[in-house]
Amino acid sequence: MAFFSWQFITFLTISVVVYYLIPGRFQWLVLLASSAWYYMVGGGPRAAVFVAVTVVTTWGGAVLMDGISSGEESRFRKSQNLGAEKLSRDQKRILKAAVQKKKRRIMVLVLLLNFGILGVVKYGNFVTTNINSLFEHFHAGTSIPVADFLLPLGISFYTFQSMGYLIDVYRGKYSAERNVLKLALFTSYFPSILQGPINRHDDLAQQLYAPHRFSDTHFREGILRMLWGFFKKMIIAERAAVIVNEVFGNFEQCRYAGFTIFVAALFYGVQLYADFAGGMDIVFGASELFGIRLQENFRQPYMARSISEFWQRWHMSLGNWMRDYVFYPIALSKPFAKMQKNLKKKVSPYFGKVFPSFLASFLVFILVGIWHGANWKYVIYGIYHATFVSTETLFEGPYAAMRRICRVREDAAGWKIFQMIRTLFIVSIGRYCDVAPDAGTVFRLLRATFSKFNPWIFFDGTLYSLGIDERNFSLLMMMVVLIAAVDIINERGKTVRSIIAGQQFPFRWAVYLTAVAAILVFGMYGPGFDMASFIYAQF
Amino acid sequence: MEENRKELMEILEETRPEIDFENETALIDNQLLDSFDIISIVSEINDTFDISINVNDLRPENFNSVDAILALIEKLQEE
Repeated sequence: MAFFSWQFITFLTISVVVYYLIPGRFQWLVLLASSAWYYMVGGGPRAAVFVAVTVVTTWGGAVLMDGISSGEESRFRKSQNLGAEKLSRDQKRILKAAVQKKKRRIMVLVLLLNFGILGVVKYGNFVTTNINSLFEHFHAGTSIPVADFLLPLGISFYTFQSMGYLIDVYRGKYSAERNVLKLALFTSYFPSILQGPINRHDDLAQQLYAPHRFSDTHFREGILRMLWGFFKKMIIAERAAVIVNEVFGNFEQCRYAGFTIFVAALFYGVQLYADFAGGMDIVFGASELFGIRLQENFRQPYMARSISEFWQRWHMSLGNWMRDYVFYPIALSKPFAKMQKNLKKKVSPYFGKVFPSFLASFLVFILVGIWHGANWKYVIYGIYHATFVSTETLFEGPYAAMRRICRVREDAAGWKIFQMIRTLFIVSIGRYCDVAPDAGTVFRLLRATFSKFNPWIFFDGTLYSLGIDERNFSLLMMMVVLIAAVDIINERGKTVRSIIAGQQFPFRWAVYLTAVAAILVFGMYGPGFDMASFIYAQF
Repeated sequence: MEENRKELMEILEETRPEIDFENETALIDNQLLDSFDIISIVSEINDTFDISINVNDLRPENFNSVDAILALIEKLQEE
C-alpha cells in the first residue's frame, strides 16, 4: 500500500480516529492491529510469517536471557554451599562470567537464526550465482540451483531493529519485554517497518505502550511533516529520477559523458535525499499523529564538511546501529586489543592507537555497502567510503600542516563552503556504485565522466533534453533551492514546521492548501496513479 | 582519586586537545567525541588503569563527562 494512495490515507484516518476514541490502556492494541493489517495488505501472509518468526524468537531469547541471572545465582550458591550471605568480589566475578556465558549462547543462537534468514532471502541469489560462476570458471561441469526469494517487506529494517533489542538485553541495558504482543508492536510498528528508521527499544517502546491524549500541536506538526514528505517525494524526487534514469540508463547508447554524467549524479543525490528523507518525513509525520516521536534519521546531510560527518547525518539510525553493534564490539574485541598492543610496541604508539579502528571501520563500511544489496559494486562502495573516513583521522596531522602552509582560516565561511562542496563531490562519485548495474559499469562511468570536458552543456540546452523540458527543469531547480533553504534554517536550530504550525489559523491553512495543491498539480505519479515506490523500501 | 583524574585528563587532552574536558558534560550527546575517539580513549584507559572497559559499558551516560568516565573507571577497579 503506497503512502500516497487513498487506501493509505483512509487506513491512517481510521486508525487515528479509533486510537483516540478508545481508552488509553488499549491504544497500543489499535497500533498493533493497524500494523498487522498494514503488513498483511502490503507484504502478504507469507511475509508476515517471517516477521512472526523474528518476533517470537527475539521475545523468547530475551526473556530466557533475563531469567538466567536469578536462576544462575541460586544454582551458584547451592554449588558453593552458600546461604544468603553476601558474595565476595571473586565469587561475584565467577557468577557474572557464568551468567554471561549462558546468555551469550542464547543470543548467538537467535542472532544466527534471524541473520541467517535475512542472509538466505537477501543474499542467497548472490552467493549461489557466484558459486556457479566459479564452477564455470574451473569447468567443473556442475551447478547448484540459484536461490531466488521474494524479499519480505522491510526485512532488513525489522531484523536489525529486533537484533539491536536482543543485544541490548544481553548487555543488560534494559530488561526483556515479557508481553509478546508488545514486542510484536515494537517490531512491526507500521509507520517505520518499510523503510526505517531502525528504532531503539529504549526510545520507542514506552511511547508505543503509553496512553496518548490527542494533541493539537502534535497533530498539526504531523500533518505538515507528512505534506512536506509528499512534496519532496512527488515533486522533487520523481522529477530528478527522470534525468537520472535517462542518463544512467542510456549512457552507453547515447554517449553521455563529462559534466552530463556528473550533473545526473548530482540529481541522483537530489532524488535519493528527496525520496528517502521525504519518505522519513511521511513516516515521522504519520507517527506523530499518534503522539509518538521517532528518532531522526537525517540531519541536513549535504551540509556535512567531511565524509565522516556525512555519515553522522545521513541514515543516522543505520550508522548508529552499525557503531553500537558492529564497530564497537569488533574494535574492542580481544584480538583487536592484542593487535593494538603489538602495533604500539612494534610500529608506533600512534599507529597502534588508530589502526584497529580503521580496520573495524572498513569492515563496517563493507557491511553497510552489502546492506544496500548483494553485489560486488556495493563492496567497492563500502571500501571507497571507508578509505575517506579513515584517512581523515590517519592524516589529520599532515592535513593540518597543509592548511597552515596554505594559510587556510578554518572558521572562514569560504573554507566551510569549499569543504561542503568537496564532500558533495566525493559522495556523488561514490553513488556511481549505486546507479550502475554492476562493478564494471562503475568504472566505465568514471572513465566517461573524466574523459570529456564539456562545460557548455550548462548553456546549450542539453540539460533540457535529458527527459524533462525547460519548465519542469526550472521547477525542479526551484524546489532544490527550497529544500536547501529549509535545511539551512533547520541547521541554525529553528524548525520550519514548528514556525508554520505556530501561526494563526488562516496562514496555517493557506500553507496546507498550497502544499496539497502543489502536490496534486506538480506531483508526478508512477504506474497506476500511485507514486513510484520508495527506493529504500526494497532493502 | 586525584591521581586517576590527572591521568584521565592527560589521555583525553592528548586525544582531542581542543575540547574543554573540565567543563563539558555532553561529550557524546553533543557529538564532540566520535567513535574513533572513543575507541582510542578506551584502549588508553584500559592500559593505564589496568581495567577492561567492554562494549557493554559504552553508553553515553558513561562517557558524557570526565566525572562520568572517572566513575566508570573506579567502578571497574572495584570489581
